[in-house]
Amino acid sequence: MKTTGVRWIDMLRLRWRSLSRRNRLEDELDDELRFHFESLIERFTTDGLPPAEARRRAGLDIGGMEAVKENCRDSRGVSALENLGRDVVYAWRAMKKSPGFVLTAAAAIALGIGVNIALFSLVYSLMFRALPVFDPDSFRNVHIATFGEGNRSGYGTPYNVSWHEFNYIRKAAKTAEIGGLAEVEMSRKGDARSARAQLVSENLLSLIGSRPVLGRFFAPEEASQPGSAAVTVLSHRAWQHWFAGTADIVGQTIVLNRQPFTIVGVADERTTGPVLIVPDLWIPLTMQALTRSGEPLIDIATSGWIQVFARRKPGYDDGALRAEMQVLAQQSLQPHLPKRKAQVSVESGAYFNFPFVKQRFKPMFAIVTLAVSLVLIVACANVANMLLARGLTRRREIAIRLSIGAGRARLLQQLLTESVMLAIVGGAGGLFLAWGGARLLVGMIPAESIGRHQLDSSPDLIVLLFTLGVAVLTGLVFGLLPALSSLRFDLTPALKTEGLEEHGRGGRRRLQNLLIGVQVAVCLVLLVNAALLLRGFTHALQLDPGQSTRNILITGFDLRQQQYTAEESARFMNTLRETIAASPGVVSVSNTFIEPLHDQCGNMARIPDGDTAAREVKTSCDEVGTDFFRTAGIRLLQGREFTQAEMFNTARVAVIDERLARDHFGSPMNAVGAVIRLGQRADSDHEIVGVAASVRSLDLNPVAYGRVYTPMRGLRNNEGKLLVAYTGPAGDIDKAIRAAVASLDPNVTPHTKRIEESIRSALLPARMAAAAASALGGLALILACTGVYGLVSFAVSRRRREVGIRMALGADRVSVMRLVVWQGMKPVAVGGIAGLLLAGAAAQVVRAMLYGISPLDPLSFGSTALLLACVAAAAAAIPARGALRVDPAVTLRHD
Amino acid sequence: MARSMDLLQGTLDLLILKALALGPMHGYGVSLRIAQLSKAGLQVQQGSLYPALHRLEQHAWIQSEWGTSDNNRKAKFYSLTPAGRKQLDVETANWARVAEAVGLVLGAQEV
Repeated sequence: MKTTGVRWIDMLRLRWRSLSRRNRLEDELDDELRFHFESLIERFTTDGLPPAEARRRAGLDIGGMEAVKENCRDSRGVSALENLGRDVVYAWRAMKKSPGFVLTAAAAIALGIGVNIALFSLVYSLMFRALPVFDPDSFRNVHIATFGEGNRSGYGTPYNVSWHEFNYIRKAAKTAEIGGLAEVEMSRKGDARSARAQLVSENLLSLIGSRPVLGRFFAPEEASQPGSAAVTVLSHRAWQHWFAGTADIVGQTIVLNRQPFTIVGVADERTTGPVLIVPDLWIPLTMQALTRSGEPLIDIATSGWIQVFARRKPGYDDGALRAEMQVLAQQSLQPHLPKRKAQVSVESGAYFNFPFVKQRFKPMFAIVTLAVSLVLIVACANVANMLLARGLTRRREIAIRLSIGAGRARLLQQLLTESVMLAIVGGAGGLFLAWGGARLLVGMIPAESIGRHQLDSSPDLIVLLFTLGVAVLTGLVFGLLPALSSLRFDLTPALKTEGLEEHGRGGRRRLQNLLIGVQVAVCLVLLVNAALLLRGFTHALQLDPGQSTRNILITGFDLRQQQYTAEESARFMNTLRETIAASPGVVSVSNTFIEPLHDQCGNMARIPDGDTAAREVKTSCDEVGTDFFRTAGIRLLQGREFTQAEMFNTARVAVIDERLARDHFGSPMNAVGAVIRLGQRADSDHEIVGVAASVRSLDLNPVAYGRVYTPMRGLRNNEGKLLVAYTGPAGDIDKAIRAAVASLDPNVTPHTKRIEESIRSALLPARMAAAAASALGGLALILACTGVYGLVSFAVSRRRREVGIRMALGADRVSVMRLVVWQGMKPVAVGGIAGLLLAGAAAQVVRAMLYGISPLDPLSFGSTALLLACVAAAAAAIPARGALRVDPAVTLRHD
Repeated sequence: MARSMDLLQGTLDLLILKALALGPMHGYGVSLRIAQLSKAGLQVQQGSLYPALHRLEQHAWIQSEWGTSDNNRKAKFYSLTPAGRKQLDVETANWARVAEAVGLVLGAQEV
């Protein structure tokens, strides 16, 4: 028997560790029994026994202390948490014993989970991750949408407000301080787009928690009246790169859009702005007119261009902010758009959380989510099969544990703990894969197309929690079937021999085949869709787009930045057009507002129907110069092109395309001479003078609208494109264009590209979709084939004896090989057929991206099925060769 | 001291519940109370007392709380829960039926 002294030491030791529930309960048990023990001693002492004798008697009375404690523990039962702890330790030991298995399974899971995390972290960092501003918890995006009567134009997102509205809201706001921002490109040293600027309200920089490292930020009077004041705050980077970090930068000037700006300060290095694109410098909102000289938005009350941010004041929540913004936004419309309704939403600051984005991207997001989930399903089926095979080798261990009284529920929990831990290891690997993958993907976005962005796709707590959640779920999914299967068997034979064979094990083999079938089917769905997207993409390149797709150069200018008036820019374009047309090699020259084969202009047209009624028709629009249809190679079906005179007079004439003519006028013939109304009132009626062949837009629009062309008079918004049809080498023409532009105004930089490049950029979404689908399909193919490989090599190792007997009885190598390979290929064939059917259904979803290729395109289906069959056959044949090396003499002697 | 009698399975639970029905008490007190009430006829061994207490607590028929004993020591006090009170009624009725049945059997033998 232990002495009390030792017990006290034990007690102390336990106290030190008494953090867990288990230790606390143990401590309490000890305390309780000690109290009993000491009460007994006290009683015996009171009865008159000497202390030593009393202690001895008490000890006798209480009996074996440890046995009592053990009985108490038993009757208390063991907590679920304690069980889990034991399971985790046990699983850890089991994993350490078979590192090869853990590595293979974890790699498969890492691939499956990795693509899911990559997608999640991209969407999350675009739409949900907090902005890089000071105290993001109280920083909000305010999205003000308006609808109803009255014309309102918007630049940027539809949630931007006008200068008038912004000032009203900002002055009246009580629950938050309001800041505004608009992104613009400016020219520095004559190079258009060489400086990215943010037009800001004077408080925005301090609102996001920025501090000047040199000088100061804007003063209120510098941003109060339109045109005040030509001052700028440089970003830290611009200060370093453009001015080599000179200390006396404050007070110097920088020329932007031909206007000298005084540098009043430099922001600290952390300040990158509250939007995705990082600016080079900040200028007051009131300098807007300078960035868009043809059409200053700051004077137009109905023109939304300012993005609204709010810094919530203490004591107000989002509900109060939203309620106030709703009232103020409505009131701000009163002076100029009294009949329009405002609808406000307030969101935690993020880059891309606009309501329309969430709506419009929902279907696309659903497709992509489905695709990455499919890869995860393949990975799950793959690992489940590995576990099934492994379950067989662990039969004896499980049988022993069952026979000594472990409950099946407890063992199930144990096996699931193992698979969840395996999934967590895989998830950790997936996290690294996703991080690398996301960086790779983000790096693929061409910098010149969007500028320097600050998308942060590194993992944070939310991403970690997502990974953990997916991993646990994955572990349960792939672990459940194998676990149930390994618990459902007869104890006795399992205990007797290790090498018991497949007799009566049809259930397990069926399950293995089912899992292979699932992998193959899902893999085919992904592969077929990838093939379809690839076919669609290559098909789009060969389509007859309704216009010429070669020997055209597209030259863009941005005259907004050159302080041109509308008249000046019209004169500039006309002179330029004539100069270039006279150059050798040039066939014809024209202007257009939008890039050929793109679809960036939309309008509501009204087609008079009877006396008063008018049908509203959604159309796509373009403004074009003389010779446009000849230059672009678009056939005129009826009527005529615009005349030279129509470019300068005010004749309201239009050319429509064949689609619009057939849909709404019956035929091209009927359309010529008819009237189409391109605005609200009768003075916007246009006479249709010609019908041109329909041009196919390469943008991924599910609906193609008819197109209306109107004469391009001057430059719309000082922006425009020159189309040059040429013969001979494109380089010479490009040089001629540069020379012509330089002779007119050396400050203007033309951006010229060939129409082939334009087509490629229009097809970028389709190409990226095809590339992503191919990558996912490839992953699934790898997983499915390792699955087939694993199944066949497992079967070979299990059927060694059977093969030996067959060979001893005279079976030749070919028939043995056929037997083993067929066993692997049977589920592939069944899964393949199911997969083709599923793929046929799934392909309907990507129909919009196929450019007219049938979703049931036999070439895509056939080639994919063939590819899968070949790869699977190879995966089955390699391990099957092992069966040929079976030596009948050895295997038969084995027992 | 009288020789302790072996208790019928389940009887100990009944006795503990009854002892605690008279008021909250620590384990040592429960054994004393049972001994007193039975006029020292029933001695509950600690080896079965404490597992029984823990088992009853697991069933939520009794609950425990740390308090101070008469001799000013920290002790774990058990008390009856409402569910335990119901259980006491059920087991008391059971015991009465068993006792009556056993009495009948033994009575028949004497005739």
